Amino acid sequence: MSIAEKLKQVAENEQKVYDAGYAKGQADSVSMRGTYVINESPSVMYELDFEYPVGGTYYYYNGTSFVKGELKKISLYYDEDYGDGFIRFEGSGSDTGYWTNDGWRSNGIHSSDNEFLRTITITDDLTGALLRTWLKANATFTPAPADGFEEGKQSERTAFWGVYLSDGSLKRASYMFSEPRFGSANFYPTRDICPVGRAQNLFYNFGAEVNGVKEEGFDLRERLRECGVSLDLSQATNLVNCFAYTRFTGLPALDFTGCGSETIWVFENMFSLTEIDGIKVDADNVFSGWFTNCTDLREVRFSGIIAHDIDLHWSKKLSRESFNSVFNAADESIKLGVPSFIITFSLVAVNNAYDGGIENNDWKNQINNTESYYRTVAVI
Amino acid sequence: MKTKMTLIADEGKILTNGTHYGRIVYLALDDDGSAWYEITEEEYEHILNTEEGKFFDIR
Repeated sequence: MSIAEKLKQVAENEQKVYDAGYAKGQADSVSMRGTYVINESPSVMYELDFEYPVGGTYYYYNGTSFVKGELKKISLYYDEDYGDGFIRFEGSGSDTGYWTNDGWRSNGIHSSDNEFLRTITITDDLTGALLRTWLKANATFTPAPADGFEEGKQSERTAFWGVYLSDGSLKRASYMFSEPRFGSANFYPTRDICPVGRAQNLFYNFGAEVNGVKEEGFDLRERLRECGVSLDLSQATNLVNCFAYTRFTGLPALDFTGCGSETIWVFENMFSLTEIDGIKVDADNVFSGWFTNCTDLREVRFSGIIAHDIDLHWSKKLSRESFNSVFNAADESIKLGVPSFIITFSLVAVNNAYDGGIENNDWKNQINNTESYYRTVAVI
Repeated sequence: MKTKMTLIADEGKILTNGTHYGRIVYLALDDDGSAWYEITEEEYEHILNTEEGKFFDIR
């Protein structure tokens, strides 16, 4: 049942006949309602009364300034004939305020704009939340911090990200989320992040220091999920230093296939990094400095083709599955006939991931299989 | 017949080709091993600690 239908149903049960003088500017009492006249043509007004939380506050205009009052009742009016409506607030002040599409006015009726109609039809929440939203849209007053501070903060946050991310297709995105601008305290994207073109240093040193406090590691995947957005790097052409020096503990699936060789130092000095859901690469991607000091890295899942030197020796906790994904992606390069390259692992990681270390049969198979002829593996 | 070579560094030594390092190096077929040589572990640590811009702890 649409909002309009709900309104109509309730109002039909409670429809009252009021003083027709209301619309002629004579109404100044909070109890005045009724059939009103617009342009001398009578219209039927449907009314839905509901209670705003007792003690809630609102601001009404007394003709000179906005004054804080105690909100006692809020009413939503929907004029079916006119196709429009308004909200009326009843409070401790002698004035009664109305919120319409034209803004806050005293003793006003409503505007001819249909935006209000669209508003009430897209939300079923005719509660104080809606009231606060409309109140905050009025730029001529500042509510007390205790009243709606979080809502105000969210409103500003939404406005900022709407501008910053535009339509999500981010051109010239270099340094876009890098320090000193961004950290976990203020990174709340409202749409998918899809850099297009050059995007080096995209998150470089993210969260180095926020308000003077050193940023602790946090999981970028969780924040993206929390915000209901994704990170798509497939259209970036340069991701050098993309996540370097950040304190992310987890990264989502990443696609570097659009970058060619512009991929060095991507995860450099990510001391807190433990998991990367996926890394899609191709034969052009180079991996210089990728995992420098990624000392806590356990899980990484490569897909695609590794065809250049890659050094994972800092990662002493690498899982067996991670080893396998590196070998599998390296094996894919054989079909291309690329020159041999060098894969470097930590001996400690090999001993941890393979029972018996380098004497493990699975390890030996990886080292001695046919594909291995085309790559050098160093273990340190 | 193809022969794969494996280089194993002596005790206290590290193998290097100038850019890569390993205690054990499983060579690809087209790598005859001639580019690899041994350095001491101390030399290796020195390289780790002084290579500019590579091992920089910002914590």
